[in-house]
Amino acid sequence: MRSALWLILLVHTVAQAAPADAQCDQTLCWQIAPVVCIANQKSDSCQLDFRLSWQHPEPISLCAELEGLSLHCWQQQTSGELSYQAQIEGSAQLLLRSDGHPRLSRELSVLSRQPARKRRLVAPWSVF
Amino acid sequence: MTIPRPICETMLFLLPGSGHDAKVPTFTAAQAQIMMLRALYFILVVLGVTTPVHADCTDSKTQEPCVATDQWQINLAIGAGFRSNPLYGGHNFPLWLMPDISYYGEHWFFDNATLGYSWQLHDDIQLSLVSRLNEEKGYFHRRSAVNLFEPQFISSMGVAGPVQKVAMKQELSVAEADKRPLALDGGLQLDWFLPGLQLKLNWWHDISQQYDGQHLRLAASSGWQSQFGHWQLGVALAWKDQHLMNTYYGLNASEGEGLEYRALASWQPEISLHWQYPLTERWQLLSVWRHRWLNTDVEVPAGIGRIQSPLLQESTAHSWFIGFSYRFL
Repeated sequence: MRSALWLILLVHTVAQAAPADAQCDQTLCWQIAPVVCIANQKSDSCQLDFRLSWQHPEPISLCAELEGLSLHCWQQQTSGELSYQAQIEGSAQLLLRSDGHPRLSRELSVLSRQPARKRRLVAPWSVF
Repeated sequence: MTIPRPICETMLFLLPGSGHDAKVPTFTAAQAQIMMLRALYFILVVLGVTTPVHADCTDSKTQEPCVATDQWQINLAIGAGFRSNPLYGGHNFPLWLMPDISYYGEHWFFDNATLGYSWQLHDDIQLSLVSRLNEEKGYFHRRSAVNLFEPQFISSMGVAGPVQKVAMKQELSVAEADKRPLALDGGLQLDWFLPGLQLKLNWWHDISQQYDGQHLRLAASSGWQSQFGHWQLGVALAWKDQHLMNTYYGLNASEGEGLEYRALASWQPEISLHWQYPLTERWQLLSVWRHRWLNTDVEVPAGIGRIQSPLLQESTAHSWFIGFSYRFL
């Protein structure tokens, strides 16, 4: 029992310490976490509180966009951070632009707690 | 006044004590009115106390007709019931245990012995390529040798007028009956999901070249949730071509003592009712009832009319079951 608790604590600590997956375009890198939102149904709207951070060796001007909506712009900086509450339905595209050109993108998506369900095409109990 | 045969047949299930001898039913206008009122009363009772189930499957509380994808759904029901066998010498199929097994992937599905591959054409329309064993052979599996040509099942008044009385006696052995082939059908299925109503059109073709025919089936079903459980009412109309009907319900010259009885294409109406009442998360009370009119007419050898196939003792087939079902997965 005690070893199980230690194992859970260890896994939790490692998970907390692990940096979010970094994506880079040449020398411009960013991290976003989390990128999935858990809803009851995949079709449900879901609120995702994510944190974005980026780094670049030289000062640069960047803008973050979510599905075409501008979230924040940084002027001549080497790094930046943003926390944002997004309302997502299905999926949404997060974009980092430099001088109007898209440099990095990441999809934010909704996952369901319930297994996907389909309409049944044959009547139940029809073997009889 | 007599009522046209198709209308009579769709009302047979409402007849008080019609029994199994009603091969050529005729009703008076008063009887027809009573039957209509009973049908209306039945529909109002069922519809009036319930609310329709919308089958878009987005609500996880909707139990039917939705299934979770990428996992087997296995249900087993235990109880009492039977499926009637309309053949002379046919034994009813006892129903003590009934399985309900399905698996739905993104496109492929297996559902109660039907294998299919489906495409979503529209939000509410699906087209599927389907295959399954033809069900006609089933009646011939549970059958004993009997005297086929007994006078009591031949009416002197056929649907198309007076028919020849056949009083010959002949025994059709189980071996001969077993010559009816086991066929594999393949075809297309179109499902249209409307609010509270599911429409289904099936086209089946014999891909095993056993009867070299085809059949169609148009079905509508509607589900309601009430304080008494979940109800599913279904009606269907099947058309079976002459090749199919003659293979299973016609008699060749050797079977008919020198006379050939060629079966005709058949229209077969059907009505069914399912009821489920949840007891726990996995246990349910279950009742299933189905009635089908067979219309298995054959041409009388002398060519002066038609009679019901001499193989059939009853003009309908019905099934019922009541019991408990358990959901394993």
